[in-house]
Amino acid sequence: MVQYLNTFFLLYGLFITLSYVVLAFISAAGLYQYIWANRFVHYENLLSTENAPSLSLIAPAYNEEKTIVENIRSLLSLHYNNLEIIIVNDGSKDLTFQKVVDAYEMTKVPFYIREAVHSKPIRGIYKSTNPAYSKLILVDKVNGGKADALNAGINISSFDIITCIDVDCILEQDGLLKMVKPFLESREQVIAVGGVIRIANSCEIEDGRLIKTHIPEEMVPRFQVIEYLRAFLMGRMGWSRMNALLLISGALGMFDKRIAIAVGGYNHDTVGEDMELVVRMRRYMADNKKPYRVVYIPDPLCWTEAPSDYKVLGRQRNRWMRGTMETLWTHRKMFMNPRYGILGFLSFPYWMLFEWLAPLIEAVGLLYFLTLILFGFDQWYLFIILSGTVYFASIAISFLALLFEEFTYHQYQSKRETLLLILTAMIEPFVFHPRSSWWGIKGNIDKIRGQKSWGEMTRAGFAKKK
Amino acid sequence: MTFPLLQHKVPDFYDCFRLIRETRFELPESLAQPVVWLSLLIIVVSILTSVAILLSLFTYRFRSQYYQQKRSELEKSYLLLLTGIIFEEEDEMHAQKKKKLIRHFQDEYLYKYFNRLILRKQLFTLFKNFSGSAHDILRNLYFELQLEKDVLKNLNSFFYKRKIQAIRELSLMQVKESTPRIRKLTTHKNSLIRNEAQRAMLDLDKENPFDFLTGNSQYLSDWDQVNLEITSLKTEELNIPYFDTWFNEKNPSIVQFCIKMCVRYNQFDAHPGLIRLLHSDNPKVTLEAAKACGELMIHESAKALIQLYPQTNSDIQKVILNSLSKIGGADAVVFLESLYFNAPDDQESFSAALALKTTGLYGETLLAKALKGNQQRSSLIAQHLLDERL
Repeated sequence: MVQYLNTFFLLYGLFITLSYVVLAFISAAGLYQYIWANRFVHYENLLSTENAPSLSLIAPAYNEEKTIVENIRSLLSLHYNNLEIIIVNDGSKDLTFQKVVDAYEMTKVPFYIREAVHSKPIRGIYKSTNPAYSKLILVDKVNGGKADALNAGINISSFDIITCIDVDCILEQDGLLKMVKPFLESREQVIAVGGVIRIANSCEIEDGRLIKTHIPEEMVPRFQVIEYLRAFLMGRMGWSRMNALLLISGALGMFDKRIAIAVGGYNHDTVGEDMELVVRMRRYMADNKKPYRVVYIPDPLCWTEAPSDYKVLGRQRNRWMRGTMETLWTHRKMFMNPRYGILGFLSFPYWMLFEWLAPLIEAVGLLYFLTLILFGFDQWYLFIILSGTVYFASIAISFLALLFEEFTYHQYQSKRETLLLILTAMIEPFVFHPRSSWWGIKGNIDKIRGQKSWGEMTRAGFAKKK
Repeated sequence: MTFPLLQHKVPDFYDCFRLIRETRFELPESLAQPVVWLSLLIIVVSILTSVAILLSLFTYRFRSQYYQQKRSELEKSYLLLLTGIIFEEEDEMHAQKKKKLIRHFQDEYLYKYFNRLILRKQLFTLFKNFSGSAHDILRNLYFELQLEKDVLKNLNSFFYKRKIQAIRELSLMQVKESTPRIRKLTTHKNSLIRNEAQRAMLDLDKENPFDFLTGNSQYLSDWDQVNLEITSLKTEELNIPYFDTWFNEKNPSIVQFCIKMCVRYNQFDAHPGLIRLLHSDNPKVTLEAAKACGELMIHESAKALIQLYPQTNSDIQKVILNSLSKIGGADAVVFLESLYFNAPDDQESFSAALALKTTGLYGETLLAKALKGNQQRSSLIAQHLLDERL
C-alpha cells in the first residue's frame, strides 16, 4: 500500500512537471512566431482606416473614489479611434459616482436601454457636456457585483466588440490596437481575445501611464511576478496555441458581443465570472458546431496592482479557487466529452487535476508523509526525496519563465532586478507556495460551506507612486 | 536504520546532539525502488537545466548588451558620414568626397555582415525620413555599396522574417530587378510574406499595382486588406485601377477588398456590380456590398436593399438600415418609418429610428412627433436619439 501511494505522489508530481514542460515548448514556439511576426506589423494603420472595427470598453467601478478620475483619464488617452468608454458605477458606497460626474462634467441623458442580458436596475446614464469627453458614458446602477455591472455595460454598449477591463488597471496605449488584430486576421471566427496582465507595484506611473517598470519592492507582489510570468508566458500562451484556453483574465478581455449575448452574458452566480463566460462561449460554439478561436496575446498590455499583503492575497486566491470549482462543476458535461474535443479531453482534466485538486493532493501528500514519520516507517526518506524533486523541478520551471521574459519583452532590465527575481524563484516554493496551497484548500472548504462573497480587495492605488 | 529520536519522550539539547551523532544513516531497502531512482534523476536533470537556463539568460543579456553597444557605435559613425554627404552641396568636391566615403565604407566596415546589416538599417531609416534629393543620394549610395546583394540573397532565405525584411527593403529602395521574384511571393502560403509582397507590388509596379489580385486564391484577411488600403493611400503616383474589374473573382476575400477600395476611391461607376453583389452567396460579400451602396449613396440600390432586408441575417440588416439612411429617398424613408413603429424587436426599431434620424430633416421631424406620441417605445427611442450627445 505504502509503495503504491509513494508511486502515486511521485507520478502526480511528475505529470505536473511534464505538463509544464510540454506547455513551455508549445508556448516557446508560439512566442517566437508572435514576436517575429509582430516586428513587421503596422498597428497604426488601424488608426487611419474606416474599416477598423468599433469597440466598446466596459469598466465596472465599485468604491474607487481614490483613483477613478485618474483611471478614466488613462482610458481616455488610449490609441483607438472608434471607441466608447463605459464606466459602470456598481452602486458604490463612497464618492466614486460624484467624483466622475464632477471631473468630467457629466449630466443625465434619456438613454433608451435595450436589455439583451440581465442586470440589476440602472438608475441613470450620464454623458459629458464637454465634447472632449464625448467617448465617455457613465452608468449608475444598483449594486449587483462585477458580473452584473459588466452585463449592464453590455446592454448600454453600441458596438459588436466589447472590451471588459478592471478600471484600476493601466492599459498600454496601443493595447486595444494589438487586441483587435486577431479579430481581423483570423479566418475562423474569433470569439475572445485575452492579454497578459503584469504587476505594476513599484513601477513608475504618471498621469495613468506606465513610465518605467520595476520589480516590486515588497516580497508578496514579487512572488506574484514569478507566478504571473509562469502563468501567462508559459501556460496561457501554450493553451492558446492549442486553441484550448479556458480562462481570459477578468482584468482584460475582448469579446464578440453577439456570442456573449447569445450565451446570456456574465453569470451572476459565480465568483469566477471571467472563466465561466469563456467556457460558456466556447461550449456554445462547439454545441452549434461553429469553427472559432479564443486568442491570447503575449504582449504585456495591462498593468495591475497586485495585493501586497498575505491577507488580501489570500482572499483573492480563495475566490479564484471557488470560481474555478464553480465553473468546472457548472460545465462538468464537457469533461471527457468527445463533442468538445481538446477542451473536454485536455483542458478540463488539466484544470481539474492540476488547478482544482492540486492543493488538496499536496496537503494529503504532506499528511501522509508526516504519518509515515510519526509511525516510524523507514519510507519517510522518500518524503525528502520527493520534496526535493518537486522543489528542483519547480525552480527549473520558474527559471524557464524568467528566460522567456528575457528573450521576449525584457521588462526587468537591471542586473539587480534579475538577481532578485532568481532569488525569489528559489525561495518561492518554501515561503509562498505553502500559503498558496492553503488558500486553495480554504477555497474548497468555503465553497463546500456555501460561501459566495468576493472578499474585500483593498488597494493602495497608483497615485502614491508618482 | 534506527531513528531513536521518536522513541524518547522529550529529549533535551544534549540528548538530541548525542542521538544524532549516534544515529546511523544507512540507506534503507526502500531506496532501491525505481520511484527513488526516477526522483533522483529528475533532481539531477532539473539542477542541470536550471544551471543551463541561468547561463543562457546571462549569456543572452551580455551578448545583447555587447551588440547593442556595437550597434550604437556603428550607427553614430554611419550617421556622421551619411549626414555629411546628404547635406553637402553637389559640386566636384562632393563627387570626390563621395568616392572617398565609399572606399572608406568598403575598407573599414563592409567586410563584415553585421556592419553591412547596420548600415542597411541606417540607410533604410534615413530613406524613410528624408525626401527629395537626399532620397536619391541615399539610394545611389545603397547601390554603389552593392548592399542590395545581401538583400536579394535573403529573398530565397528559409526564414520568413529575413524574406519579409528583404521584400520591405527592396520595395523601398525601388530595386526593380526584384519585381518578378516578389510578384511570385504574392501568392505565398505564409500570409505574412504574401501580404508584404502584395504591398511591395504597389511600390514596385505603379502602373499595374493590383495585378496580383487576378486569379489569387489565397485568403486576404481583413487585416491584410487594411494594410493594402493604407499602403495604397500612402504610395505616391500610384495608378489606381477600377476595382470592379475583380468583382467576378472566385475568391470572396478579393471581392470584399475590391468593394472596400471602390468606396475608398469613390468609384461610383461600380454601382451595377455592387447591386449585383448584394445577391452574392457569400454573406461577407453581401454585407460589404450593402455597406458600399450606402457609402457611395447609390440611389438605384435602395429597392434592392429593401427587398434583401427580410431575407438576410441581423448583421447585414443593420448595415442595410445604415445604408438606407445615407441613400435617403422616399422608398427608404417609408421603409424605415414602418420598421421604427412596427418592428417586433426593440433593437431593430431602434436601428431603424437611428437611420431615420440620419436621413435628415424629415426623419428628425418624425422623431420629434413620435416623442409626443402615444407609443411608449417609439417615444423613448425618439427621446434618446434627439439628445445631441447620444
